Amino acid sequence: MEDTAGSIADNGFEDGADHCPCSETVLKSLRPNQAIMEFVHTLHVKNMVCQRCILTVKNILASMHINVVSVGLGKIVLPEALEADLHRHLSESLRSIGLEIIESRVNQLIEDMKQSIRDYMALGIDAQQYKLSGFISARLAYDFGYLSDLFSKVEGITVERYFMLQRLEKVKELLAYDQLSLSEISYDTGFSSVHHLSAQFKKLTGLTPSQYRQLAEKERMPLDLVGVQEVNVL
Amino acid sequence: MSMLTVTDELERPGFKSRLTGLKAERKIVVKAVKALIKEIYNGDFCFGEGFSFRRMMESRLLVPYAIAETWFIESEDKTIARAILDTKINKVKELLVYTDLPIEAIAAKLNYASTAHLSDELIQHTGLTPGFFLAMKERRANLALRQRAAQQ
Repeated sequence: MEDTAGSIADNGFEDGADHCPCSETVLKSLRPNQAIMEFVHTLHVKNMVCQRCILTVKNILASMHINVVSVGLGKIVLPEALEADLHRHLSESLRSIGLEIIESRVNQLIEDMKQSIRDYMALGIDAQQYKLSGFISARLAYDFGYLSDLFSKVEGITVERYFMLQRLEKVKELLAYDQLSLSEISYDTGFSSVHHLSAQFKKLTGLTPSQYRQLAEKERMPLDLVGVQEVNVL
Repeated sequence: MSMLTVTDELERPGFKSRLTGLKAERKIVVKAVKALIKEIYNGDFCFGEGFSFRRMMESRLLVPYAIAETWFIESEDKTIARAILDTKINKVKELLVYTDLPIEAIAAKLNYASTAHLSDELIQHTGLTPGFFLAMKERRANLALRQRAAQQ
């Protein structure tokens, strides 16, 4: 749920909202999201819930002249880590409005949870015999109740919701490639049936998978018309 | 903030020379839709009986809803209904955490039929209950208090 200039919604969900939401989110919800994983330093922030939180954090960062890649619900993405004094100053400013920078251990835990979710997805339909909660709990050697609570507080959405969003992102990707049938896609992404997939997909994007597929096709068309459009623009 | 209609913008001098008519019209309409959503689902709009966003949009923008929506989806990558939902949920979270308004008041401000409807939509969208956000408000207030005490 990343915040982008002029956009309305959260993240993850949302965001982006996000996330969202806060994270932010959440995503330009129709195009597959490509998370930038390298060369950035992410600070996780607890207790962010809405656009206003994002704006407030942005203001604080600006007033401290800190260079920022992006701010979403629950996270601040910087081009590099802050030096100790600045980090402490930022931490104190955020605490005074009720937000908390997660210490690296918890930070790492959240990142590990997300990675576990991705790995769980990669296992495919065979993964269905293990429940996500058991999988993550075993992986990280923490009680799932604790992990889930932590995740919610930091990301602003539940683990289950985050997992659903990840799956739907994968669905979008597969739809765009247009190589597999809907039942194959639902099998690959761990949906119990095409109906379940369609219902969740429509709830998130407002379009049915078939409609999205057609839209994804249309997006390739503009490349063909590039010449024509340029003539019109003066 | 004045609401521009499509025809107003088209009649502005110098308009045609800047962009093609079609492209600009779409941008303006999409901008207007976003602004309208922000205006209505901001918490201080007075919803009448039988309010319909579709009707309001058509009367303000003078563009058929279906057409404006296709432009909206092209530009924003989501349906108008989804954009409204995102805005509403965002506002609900904000009001829960930043104000002391009771849930009933928040539901009324955002045109929910009841507190239950608000709860349902919130849970469906975020997985979290209003109670979670109210507890969040407490946590933030306590943290701020402790910080300010520590800084003395």
